[in-house]
This record gives sequence, C-alpha cells and structure tokens, in this order.
Amino acid sequence: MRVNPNYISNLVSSLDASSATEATLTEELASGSRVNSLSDDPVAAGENVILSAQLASDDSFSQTASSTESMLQVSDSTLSSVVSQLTTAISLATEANNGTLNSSDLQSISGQLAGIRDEVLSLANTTYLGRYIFSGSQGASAPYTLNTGVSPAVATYQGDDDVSYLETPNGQKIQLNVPGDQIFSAAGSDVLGILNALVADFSSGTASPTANADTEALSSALSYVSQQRVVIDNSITRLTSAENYTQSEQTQLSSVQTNLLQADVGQIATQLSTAETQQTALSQVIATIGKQSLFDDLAS
Amino acid sequence: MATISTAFNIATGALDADQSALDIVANNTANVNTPGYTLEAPVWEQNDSITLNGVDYGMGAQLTGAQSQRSLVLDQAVQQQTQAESASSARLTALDQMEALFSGATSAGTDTSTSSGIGSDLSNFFDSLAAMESNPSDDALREQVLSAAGAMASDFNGAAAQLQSQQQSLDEQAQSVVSQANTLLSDVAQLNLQIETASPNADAGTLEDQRQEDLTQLSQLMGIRTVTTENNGLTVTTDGGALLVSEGQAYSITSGESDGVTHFYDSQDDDITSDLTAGGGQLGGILTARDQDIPQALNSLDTLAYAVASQVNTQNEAGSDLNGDPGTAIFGLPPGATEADPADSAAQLTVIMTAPAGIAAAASGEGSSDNTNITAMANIANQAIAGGTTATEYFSDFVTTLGSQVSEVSSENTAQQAALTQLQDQVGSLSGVNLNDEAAQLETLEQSYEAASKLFTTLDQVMVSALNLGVDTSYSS
Repeated sequence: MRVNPNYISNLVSSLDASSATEATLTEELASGSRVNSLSDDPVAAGENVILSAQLASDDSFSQTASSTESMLQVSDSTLSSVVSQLTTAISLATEANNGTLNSSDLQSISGQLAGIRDEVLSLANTTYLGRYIFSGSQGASAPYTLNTGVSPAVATYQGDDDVSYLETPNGQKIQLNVPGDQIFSAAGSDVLGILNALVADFSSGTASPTANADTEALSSALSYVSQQRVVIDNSITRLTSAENYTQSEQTQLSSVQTNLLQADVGQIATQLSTAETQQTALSQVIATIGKQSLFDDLAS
Repeated sequence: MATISTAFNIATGALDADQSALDIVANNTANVNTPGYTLEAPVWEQNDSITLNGVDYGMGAQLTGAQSQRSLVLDQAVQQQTQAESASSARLTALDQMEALFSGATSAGTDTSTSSGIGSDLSNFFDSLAAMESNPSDDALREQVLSAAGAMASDFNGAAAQLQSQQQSLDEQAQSVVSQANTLLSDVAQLNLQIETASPNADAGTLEDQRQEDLTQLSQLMGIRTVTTENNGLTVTTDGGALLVSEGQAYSITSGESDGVTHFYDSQDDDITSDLTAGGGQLGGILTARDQDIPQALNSLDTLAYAVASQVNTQNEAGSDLNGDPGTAIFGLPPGATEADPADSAAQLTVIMTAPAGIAAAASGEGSSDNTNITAMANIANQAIAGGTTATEYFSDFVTTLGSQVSEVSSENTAQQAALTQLQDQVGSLSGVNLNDEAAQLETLEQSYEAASKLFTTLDQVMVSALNLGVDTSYSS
C-alpha cells in the first residue's frame, strides 16, 4: 500500500496543535481562570455577567445602606432629644399648674417653655448632609417657621407629607423618613401648637384656664412622638438585617463565581505535562524519520 | 528467421527506454518538494511482435512517455474540502477578534476601577441610580450617575466602533481576495488554451499540474465548481453557477459599493455577493463575518443601548429634577432610531445631560428629597426592556451566543481540517513523490540498463564469432 510521502508535514501540524494546547493551558495557569475568552465556556461567561451584576449591586447596596443607616440614626437621636425635651416641658407645666407659684415664677416657666419650644423647633429643622430630614420631599427648605408676632405663637409646616423608601436588592421597601407634620404638628397631637399654647398660658403671670388641658394634651402628644420614633427604629432594624442578608448573599455569590471561573490547577498541570510529553515524542519522531530515505543506502 | 541485428535493435531500444525512464525518475526526485507536482510514472509498452515463418518474435519494449499519477475525483474532493475549511478558518479569525472585544465578561470580581466591559457598565450605572435613593439631593451621588452613564456610553461607542472598523477591514480583505482570484482565473484560462492545444485527449502533465495547483489556490480563496469539457478544457463557475472561466476566456469578478459595503458582480453584472458568501473559501468566510456575524453583534448592542437609553430617558422625563423643573433626557440617541430599528444606537450613544442637577430623582411636582422617580429609574435594571429580558440578562445572552458561535465554528474548523488532511493524504499517497520508491526504481533501472548493456556486449561477441566463422584472431571488435 502506498502512503503519503509528505506525512511529516502532518506531524508538524500535530506539533502545532500540541503547542497551541500548551499555550492555552499555560494561560489558564497564569490567570488562574479557566475561562479566558467567551468561547472557552460560553455559558459560564454569560452566567458570570449576571453574577457580577448581582455582586456589584449588593456591593453598592452595602455602601448605600451604611450611609442610610447614619441618616436614620440622626433621625432617631433627634426624636429621642425631642422626647426628653417634651418630658421636661410636661414637668414644668405640671409644676406651673399646681397653683402654688407666684406670677414671676409662672412667667419664668413660660420663658423656659418657650426655650423648649425653640429647641424642639430646631430639632424639627435638623439637617443631614445639608438636607432637612423632617420636611417630606422638600429637603431643601426648613420644615418649620415660627411666627412669634401673634399670641399664642404659630409654627407653620412648610414641607409636604411625602414618604421615601429605600429598595433593597431583593425588592424590600424600607421607610426612610417621617414627614414633620406627622411628628410635630399632627392633627390631635400638635406638639408645637401645644407648646405655643402653654407658653401663652403662663406668659401673663396667671395660669390661663386652658393650661391644665394643654398639659394633658402634651402628655398624649409625647406618647405619639414616641410611636413615630418606633417607625424609624423599625427601619434601622430592617436595614441592618437587609445589610446582613446582602453580605451573606455576596459571600455566597462570590464563591459561586469562583467555582464557575476558577481553574483546577492540579488538572491543568497534569494536562500540561501530558501535552509536553506528547510534544517531545512528536519532535523525536520527526527528527528520526525525517532523515531516512532509501537513497542513503544506494551503493555509490 | 530473426537476425542478430534484430537483437541489436532490441538491446538499443531497451537502453533508450531505460534512459528515458531514468530521466523520469530524476525528474520526480528533483520535484520532490515542488508544490502541486504530480508523480509521473514511465509507461512501458511492448513493441509489436513480428511473425516469421509462423513463429512470433518479440521486438523488445519502448517507453511511450510519462503518465501523471492523478485522480480528478480526489482532486475535486480536496478542492471542495479546502473551500469549506478556508471559509470556516477565515470566519473563525474574524469571530476571535470580535470575541476579544467582550472578554471583559469573563473577569471575576466587582472591581469598578477598571472598565471590564459593557456588562459591568450596565450594573454600575443602575447601581449609581439606586445609590441616589438614600440621598437624592446629594451632588456627589448625582455626579456619579452621570459619570457611570458616560462610561457606559463610551464603552458602547468603543465596541461598536471596533466592530465597524473590523467590518471595514474585512471588506478590504474581501476585495483583495477577489483580485487575487481574478488573477488565478485568467491563469486558468491561459492554461486551458495551452492544454487544449498541447494535449486535447490525454493528461497534460506539467500543464495540468499547474492548472490543478491554480484550482487548489483558488479553492482557498473562494467557492468554485469545475466541469471538464471537451479537448481537456475546464469550465469554472461559482458555487451558484456564475461563469468564471470558459475555455480560454476568464470572466473577472467586478466589485462596487452598495449599502456601505462592497458587493461583487459577475460578467452579466448580476450581484453574486450572497452566492460567494455561501460558496466558501476565504471569501465566503470573510463575507459571512462581514454580512452576518458583525451586523448581528452590532444589532444586539444597538438594541441594548437603545432600550436602556430610551427607558431611562422616559423615566427621567417623568420626574422633577433638583431644581423642581421637569426632567429632560439623559442620553442622546441617533435621530432615526426606534425600538424596531435601533441602528447606530450603540455607536452614537451620548450623554447629553451635563448638570448633575438635571437628574429627576423626585416624582413630578415633589421636592428634592423625594426618591420615587429615581427608585423607578433604578428598577429599570430589573425590567424586561430588551428582547423580553433585563438589560444585564440581554448582555449575558449576547455573550453566551457569541461565545457559542465561536466555539461552534472552531470545532467545525477542526473537523474540516481533519477531513482535509485525510483527503490530502489520499492525494499524497497517489500523487506524491516518494523518495524510497524513486530509489528503488533507480536501482531497478540501473540493473536493467546494465543488463541491456551486457546483452549488447554479448551480441557483439556473437557477431564477431559470426564474422570470423570460428577463427578467433582475424577480426575483433
């Protein structure tokens, strides 16, 4: 049977193929990744796009969550100060209502109550990173202004009742703010209005007939403010757990991604050594048979 | 009755024939590395015998010539396989380049400092929108949205521009392949004429070798069909039947621009571009990449860019910006682009918003701290906006499809190469010069030449004996 006399050129292409295999394996070893071009594993490359996007969004949420948490902390501690101010105001008003104080004492209590009202007003106008946190969506302008030209003084809410929510990567909605008019001037629990009324009640030096009712109203307003604080506290708790969930998801996704892309070093090293052996063998075969021809043996 | 001189004639003829055969062996050996050379074998023929007084006498042998060891069937199979292999190989080269543009999709991690491609651009952009939810009036966060938008637009532009320039260079390659093919076609026509004159009825040897070699080269360049005609001529047509060579006449392929790319025409001025695309050869592979693979990829990018940009624009226009004004478009798209025909959206995607305040985070009419609209905008990331999938899923599908296509063409090419090698082996075993064979023949011919010489010397002795009539010394040769 005749054979192709040019079979050496076929061997050379086998040699090229084994060199190419070695190059690919070396690249995988060097990069530590078994997918270095899309065609290495198209499905893995596609999955990696989605995994990377999820990881990036988790990562970004972690950052957002921590800045959001500090904002919520600010809201929470503001409301806590409001509560303690109101407690002081209630004990002052109760003291003024027991009928034993003279007119100058009452006037001084009225002054102290005015101080508390100013403090609560400025707490209501708290900003976080330059943004008013109790004015609904109108973060650029202070929620409350006070008109002391009339008696009792009037606090006007200038924000709106817009509530914002933060969406977690898995779609959970976390409340970010409580509009000021739900805390400081809610119907039936008008903290600033009651404080203004109390200031006016005692400002003349004699307790006005409404003083007792106003003091009771302040007590119920206090418990209402505490309830609003619970909303913020809830948000903080939910945010923390969302953050934890995101972090554990991130860990999980990272390990999925690693499994998806990571090269099996042991396996590649074995393949590399096989390819090398093959190449050495091929080179020797070519070197050996390349030399021989019957012409060598012809008698000269 | 045979005479001694008849024997002389036979011996002389044998020497002549042996010498001619040695020439053929020498020629074979000399051409051992010549591409396209077909092994020639001496054709021996017994001379007509003569009958004298009822007795047959053989009149020796002669060499009638050299016969090329060729199988036209095998040659044609090699040509067909060469066309298929060259086509997939050229296409693979183009696809490899395309694939490299999107290799960022294989990198792990969430490193946002380096641009690892459109996939991470998309998630960075939507994440920057989501980050604004917590503090919608923050300037730094707004700035980040615009910079993520800019990075995304420039990566879309870059990928589209590179695909387009690749398409352009494939276009140029196609033209150069066609001009090479035209040269070969006129060569074949020339050889047709020579062969028809020199050897109308039999294999034309070296001329035929040249013609076959031209056809092999032509097969690497483009898809052809060949038909042998009378007088040993050859008609060459394209895969689809457009005439390229008939007898001594070559019909060049002409080219002209149409739809921004080069189209090719036959001698009748019919557009044969799709015929050449399907035909194979380098040209087929190049045209497949130019007219199918790249436009497909570009269309996917356009669809994605258009979907993201138009959805985000619409949402931004629905809200109020930092100053309380109605939102305007963030992205600029080519004027004629629509969802059904998003042509050039990837190449011409721009960020037209310059002021970060322009991002409409708030719902229409709400104040600057409202995040309703930006939340809706960030949620576009989870909506099926392109081809029934989300933007990220669409890109993921695109990456998988492209990768699968590359690996498919790559295995196709490997299989075709193996088949081609096998066929070339078969041709080689028939038509290749085997030095061992030649050495063996050389040895055999040398011996038969020696034998013929010996015959001659012996006949000479016989003649001397005859002339001297048995007396040894009076006459010698």
